[in-house]
Amino acid sequence: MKFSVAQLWILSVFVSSLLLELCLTGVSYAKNAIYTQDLRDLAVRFLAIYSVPLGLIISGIFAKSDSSKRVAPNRAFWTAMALAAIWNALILGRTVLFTFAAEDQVSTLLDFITGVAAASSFLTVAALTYFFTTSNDKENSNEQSDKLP
Amino acid sequence: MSKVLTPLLIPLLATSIALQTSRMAGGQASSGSSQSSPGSPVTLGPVLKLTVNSNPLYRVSYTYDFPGQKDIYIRGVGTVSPKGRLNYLHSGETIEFLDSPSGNSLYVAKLEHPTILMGGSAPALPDEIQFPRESRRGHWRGQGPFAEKAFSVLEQYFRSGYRSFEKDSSLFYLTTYTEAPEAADGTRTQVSVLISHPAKSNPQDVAFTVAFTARERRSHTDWRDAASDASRKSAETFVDGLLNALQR
Repeated sequence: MKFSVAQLWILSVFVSSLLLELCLTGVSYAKNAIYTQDLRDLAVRFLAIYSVPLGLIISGIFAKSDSSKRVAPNRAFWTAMALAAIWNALILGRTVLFTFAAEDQVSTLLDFITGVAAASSFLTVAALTYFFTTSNDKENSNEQSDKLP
Repeated sequence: MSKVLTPLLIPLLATSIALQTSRMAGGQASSGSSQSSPGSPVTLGPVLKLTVNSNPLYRVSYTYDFPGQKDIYIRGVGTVSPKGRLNYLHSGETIEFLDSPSGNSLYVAKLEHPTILMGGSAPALPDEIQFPRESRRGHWRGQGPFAEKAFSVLEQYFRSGYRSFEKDSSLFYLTTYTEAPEAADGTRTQVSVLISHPAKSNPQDVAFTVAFTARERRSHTDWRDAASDASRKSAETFVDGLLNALQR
């Protein structure tokens, strides 16, 4: 698999999870379970939490222009995908429970997602750094230039 | 082996749980058991000490009997019949019984060895300053003292209790929150009321005021001050019903 394709897969995990969470928050609002202020608080918190990994991913995508030529190691890709899925599942899972529970509290959801996102950042930091930072890009470029006749 | 032991262990376990439960119940009752000497006109039931808004409050229940008196005056409660039973939240460590609002002291009950509430949450009781100045006015001209009528109505409407206190020659009954009818959009509303009346008025002809504060929540939110029209309307309907009950 090409590096650029791997990056898009990882990006899609984060973006789809964020969109689902925002949709579920919208569902809670539509069901009259939360107030407008809570809708705003939750949307802002989700965007703030995802701003860190998505900022890294998007800047990595734009910073690398030659990633389409390189091949992503299979093991690294699947590990990154699994870790990204776990990180997102923790946040998404709690949001699903919140949406479909008969009674819950916005404050406990906010506490949970803030705490869990911060505490589990180790799951995504290394993988995102590997796939989206320029140092790796340089290494690969060097490897490719070494192989050139 | 386990087949033999299981029938023996189950009754043992059940007995142990039952003993522990009775000990827990007994612990609460004994620490706040009846605090009165034989022949005393006041029999105090279990006293529970709570901390509400950083202030100590005592949940008291007692019976009293002062033969030979037409009416008596309980400090913080008001004028009542000479014999009765009360149950409310009290802010002092003593309860004073007098023959009239500015009369002689008949008896002072000390709230000793209260059971202290550990772990559980105390009922939510709003501050007096949370109540608006606007209030509904009512008039009691029925039979019996107003305090007794007010207590019987409040007991029916506010299951979590109410605080009774005296300040600046007025008596106040400040209640915990209770559920008002749910609004059509599913918003839950809770209401707390503050009833006040002059301490020295004729107990059978009392002009009183009822102020209220309300809070609301949806199924997935915390409580907040009632701001929506539906919630305000629900609270007002509830208070109108309470006011009618107080005047009947």
